Amino acid sequence: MQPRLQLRDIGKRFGATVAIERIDLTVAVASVHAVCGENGAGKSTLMNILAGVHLPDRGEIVIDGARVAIPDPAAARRLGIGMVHQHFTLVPSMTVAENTFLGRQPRRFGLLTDVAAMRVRAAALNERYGFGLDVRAPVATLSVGQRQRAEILKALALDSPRILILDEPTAVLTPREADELLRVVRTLRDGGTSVLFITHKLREAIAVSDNVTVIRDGRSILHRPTAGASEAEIAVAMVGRDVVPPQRGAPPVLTTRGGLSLHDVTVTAPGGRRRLDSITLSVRPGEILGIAGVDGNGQSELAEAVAGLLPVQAGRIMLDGRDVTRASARARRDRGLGFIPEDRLDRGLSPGLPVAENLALSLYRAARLARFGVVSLRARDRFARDLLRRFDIRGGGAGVPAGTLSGGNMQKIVVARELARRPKLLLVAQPTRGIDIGAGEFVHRQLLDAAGRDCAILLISSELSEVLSLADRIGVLFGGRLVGVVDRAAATEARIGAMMSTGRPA
Amino acid sequence: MTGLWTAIRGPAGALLAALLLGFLVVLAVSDDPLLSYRQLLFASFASGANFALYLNRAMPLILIGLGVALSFRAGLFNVGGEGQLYAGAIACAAVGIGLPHLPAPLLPLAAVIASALAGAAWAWWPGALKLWLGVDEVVTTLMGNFVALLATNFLVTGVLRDPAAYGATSRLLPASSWLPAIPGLPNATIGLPVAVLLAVLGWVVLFRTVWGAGLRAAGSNLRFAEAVGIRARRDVLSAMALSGALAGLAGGLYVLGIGHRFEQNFSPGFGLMALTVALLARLHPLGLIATSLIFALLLNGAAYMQIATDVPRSLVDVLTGLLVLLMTVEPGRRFRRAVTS
Repeated sequence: MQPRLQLRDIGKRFGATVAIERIDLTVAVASVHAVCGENGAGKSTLMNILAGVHLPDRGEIVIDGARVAIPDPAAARRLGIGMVHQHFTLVPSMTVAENTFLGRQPRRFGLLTDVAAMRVRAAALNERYGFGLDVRAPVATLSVGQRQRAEILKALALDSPRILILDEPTAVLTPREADELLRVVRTLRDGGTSVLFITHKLREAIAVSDNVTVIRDGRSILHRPTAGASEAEIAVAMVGRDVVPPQRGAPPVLTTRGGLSLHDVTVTAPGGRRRLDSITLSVRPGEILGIAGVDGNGQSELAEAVAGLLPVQAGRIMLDGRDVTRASARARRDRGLGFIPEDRLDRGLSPGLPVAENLALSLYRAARLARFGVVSLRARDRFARDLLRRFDIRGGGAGVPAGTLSGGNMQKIVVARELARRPKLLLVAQPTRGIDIGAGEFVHRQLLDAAGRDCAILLISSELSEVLSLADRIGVLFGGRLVGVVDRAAATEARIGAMMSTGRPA
Repeated sequence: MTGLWTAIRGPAGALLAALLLGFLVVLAVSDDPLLSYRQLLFASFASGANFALYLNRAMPLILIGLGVALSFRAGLFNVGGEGQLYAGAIACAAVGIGLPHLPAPLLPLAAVIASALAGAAWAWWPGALKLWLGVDEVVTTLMGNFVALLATNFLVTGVLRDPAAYGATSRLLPASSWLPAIPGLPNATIGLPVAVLLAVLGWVVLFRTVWGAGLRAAGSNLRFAEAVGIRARRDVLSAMALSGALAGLAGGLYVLGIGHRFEQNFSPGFGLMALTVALLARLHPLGLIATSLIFALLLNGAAYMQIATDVPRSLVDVLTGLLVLLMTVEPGRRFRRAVTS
């Protein structure tokens, strides 16, 4: 049978950088094809070529036997190619329904947007896939996870996609939502659509795909049917070496007092809804407390409240033996708090500023990079180069804007800066969101090392496997409440997963 | 050295191209295009008096431009330089006229401080409204320009008016408050060297101090700056007030060093031009010394050009427009779509 899509000898470079050396790919009709590779391997570039964002320098694209050119995204849509980008492409001020049909709104009298029809159709799609979105809500009011779902909704709203490209679609979904999505993907496949599923989560790739292609350094280096493939085989092909995910050892013996404790902490939204409801927890020095939960159940609020960026309406926050409930973010940092925020581009760094400044900011005094308030550029750059080396941050020297680095390297900047403070408490939210295996492994190892140095770590993550492999104890956030805390020995994916979806201790 | 060349070749190329395109315009309207351009570019150097006038025009551009750079770097768009200039000038005149018996060194000092404070106040409230209530500072600072202009008009046609003068000007300030001239240039106020010095200081503060690093971080990502423990809102508001203080100071130095009185509508649009000057310099305090000197040259030269030839001074507006247009072009950088890998 004629394949749905064939890519032959595709090559693409940006200036001096080779993004794609040589990639061949064949996707059958009505199949799910997983494309695996580390960040920077060329996956996104390849998909952007298919979506009409980039033109290839070389090679040919054949769809259903016909050679095609895809000069722009509109052409891609006409060819029946729908794409869900890894980074959000939603207009925050518009509603979910408006975003879904942006640029192809149903018309009334050929002129006016038929808002009612748009809502009905968006709501029907939302219903069909069980996304649980309010299609009339502006995207700006949605959580990260909900935005991702709106994004997927938008791509699914294409008339009849022949090829649907999902670029890391489950990166921000919970296990249950991810399973849901995988089911949707299978349904679409059974309906005749070919799905290109880009991921670095091997479990998913194996669970959902019929065939798998691994890309490394701009080359397609492994093609095979998924049946019979092991995670290890794919991981080795992706990384080019054996991968040993860091794993937390035996629970530590806690001797030191201090750390972090929360007593009945409550955060109320302006409307009166409780975002955090009487949270009580404690993390001792040397301990890692994991907080699992479906995105949007109070994780962001918990992190911001502990960091001192969101006022709490009730309760008490103790840091290293002192009450810091009313203390500023600055005062808390002075007391030993380090903070790795959930979205590095939001609170983690400034993409426009050079790497060196991003690394040194807030450390000028502590690391003696300034005298009488005047920065010593030599000391600052030496400090930055030292961190770049120790944390293996690649993609440019200390002087390039941080935003030009890959996601993994940007995350390492944040981790490097926060660990350079030698924190007593490290507040970590979604530390490996959207970064590749190698970088994720590195970040995990850094967290374990920090715990070994008697740092108390509060790890908030919607990636269940991350929490399970790192934390000593695991709590689940549900609807702003902390649902039980389980020792790791007693924690299984099934048990925590049940707590995440029901909101009851299991 | 190559870094410097990379930084200035864009603006330099744009300037050259704007002058060439402007020449085409002059060619179309003038009987003697060469003379027009000679006047525009070189008349400012024809005599000591011309040169002094040229330098005097550069002073407010540098100071207001520096304020613009500071506020933009801090993430607030202070486009109220003109209003803050007037606020500073009127405060300076009021102090000079109101306290004539203050001893010589104290009087100009008091007047200068008053001008900076008035300018700071006129920038502070839009900054505070922005940070506390989210009111768009572009709108408030822009509207503030009209309020300041009309309020100073009211004062200078009322209580501060010199009854003996023909136009709407304030009484003359006591000579003890006048600023000295640059040695060897009798009519050029020392306001210009002061402005240059402050620009250099501004560069040091922005790019070489911990405070400046925090401020630029706050300006480029406020939520990031807050998260790493910078008192971002306070710093940004200070930068806004400082930005206004610089524009106010320009007004004060203008009154003490150049006009010796407050004249109605004394500014030929320094505030708006300083915005262009600062943006052309890519908000760099040292760069804007250069762009200010270039703009002042055009501004000053155009006056001579209008007198000597048939080309009106509004050619400057054409040149400014062309320059802004050309500066936004980035050769070598192709159009990129919003979504890249």
